[in-house]
Amino acid sequence: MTEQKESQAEQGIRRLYQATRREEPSTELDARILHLARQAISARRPRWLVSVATAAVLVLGLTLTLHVVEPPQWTPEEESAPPAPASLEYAPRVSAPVLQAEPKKLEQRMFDRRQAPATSEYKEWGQESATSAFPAASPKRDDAGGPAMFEADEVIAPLGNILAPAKPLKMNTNPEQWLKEIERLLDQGELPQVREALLRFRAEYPDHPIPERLRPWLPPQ
Amino acid sequence: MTDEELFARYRRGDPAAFESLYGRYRQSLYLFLLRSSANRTVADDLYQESWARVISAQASFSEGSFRAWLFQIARNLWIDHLRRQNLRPVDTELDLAELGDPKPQPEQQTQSEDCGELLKRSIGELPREQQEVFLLKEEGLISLEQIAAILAVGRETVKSRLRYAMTKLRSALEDCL
Repeated sequence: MTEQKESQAEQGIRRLYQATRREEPSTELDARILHLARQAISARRPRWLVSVATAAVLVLGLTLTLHVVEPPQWTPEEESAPPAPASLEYAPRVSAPVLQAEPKKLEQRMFDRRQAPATSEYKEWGQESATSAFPAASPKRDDAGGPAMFEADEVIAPLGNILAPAKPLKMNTNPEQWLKEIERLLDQGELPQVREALLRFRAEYPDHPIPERLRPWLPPQ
Repeated sequence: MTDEELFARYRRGDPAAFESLYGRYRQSLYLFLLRSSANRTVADDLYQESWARVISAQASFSEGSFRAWLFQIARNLWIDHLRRQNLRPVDTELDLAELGDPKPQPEQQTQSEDCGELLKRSIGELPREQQEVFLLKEEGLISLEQIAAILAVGRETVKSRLRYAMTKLRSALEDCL
């Protein structure tokens, strides 16, 4: 009987308690929490979105980089471009005053060199120029308006000559100048180079007269 | 759909699942904290913090009852709050008076409501151990076993605390029952 009364009293307490359950969180509090929950999801969602976006950007960037870095497609003419001179002395020489005075001309000259069709002289050598692996550059002025400076061609060509095995002497000018250079080599005692150069010269200009002092060094045919 | 299924859906990125789950426990969790603290400001803070913990610690919920997990979070926050404030579980009558209907209509103040206010006050005056067992049972609708797990005590201890709580309330509400 006592237990039954206790049980009824507890049920009465529970009913009364349920009747008092009127309070609830404010709508502002609800909104804050629901916003927090949505924010947590949206903050998590970009993890994969960002990953995908990052991957896409990387792929795009890599593609662009490869496109930019990819060596230029050389035309056959460019492939047979003149080989680098055998020594530093044969590298294109540009004096500072000239660079200062005529940057446009120099630029045009460089452009012409790059665009010039292969000559028989060049074809004869049949060797790839040390510079052909590098894109030619145009002379440019420094920021202070100082003398123009050559970059790729002018710097890389001599470098290429140093690194590359010795090449036979070759003049990339006219026959007379070529012969003068050979004579200069003779003056310096570079006899193997003189012979080789004469051989090349003869092959290039079979009918051109050879100076008297060089004839002894001309290999027998 | 169970609480656990809803929560799993929310964890997979479904905000509607959270809204459903929130709706189920919106009032009960709030009342648990309000009856425990007897202070709206504290209850608001702890309520928001409880849900924030649920949201931030969602990955840590693996199995078991979501309901028990939710109330355990709230209860732990309430205990932390007490430790920080070094307060009694229920403050003065002034605080308890705040728990009444914010805009009670004079004509609605029946005997039942008076008893209701008395009950709220009486709950607030219970020892903390008895109070939390009563509230977890009434608001959380949590089984004695789950309450025992939340409080890290034995089931019989929970049963005993609940019995003491009921005895005190029955005594306080003698005229209402």
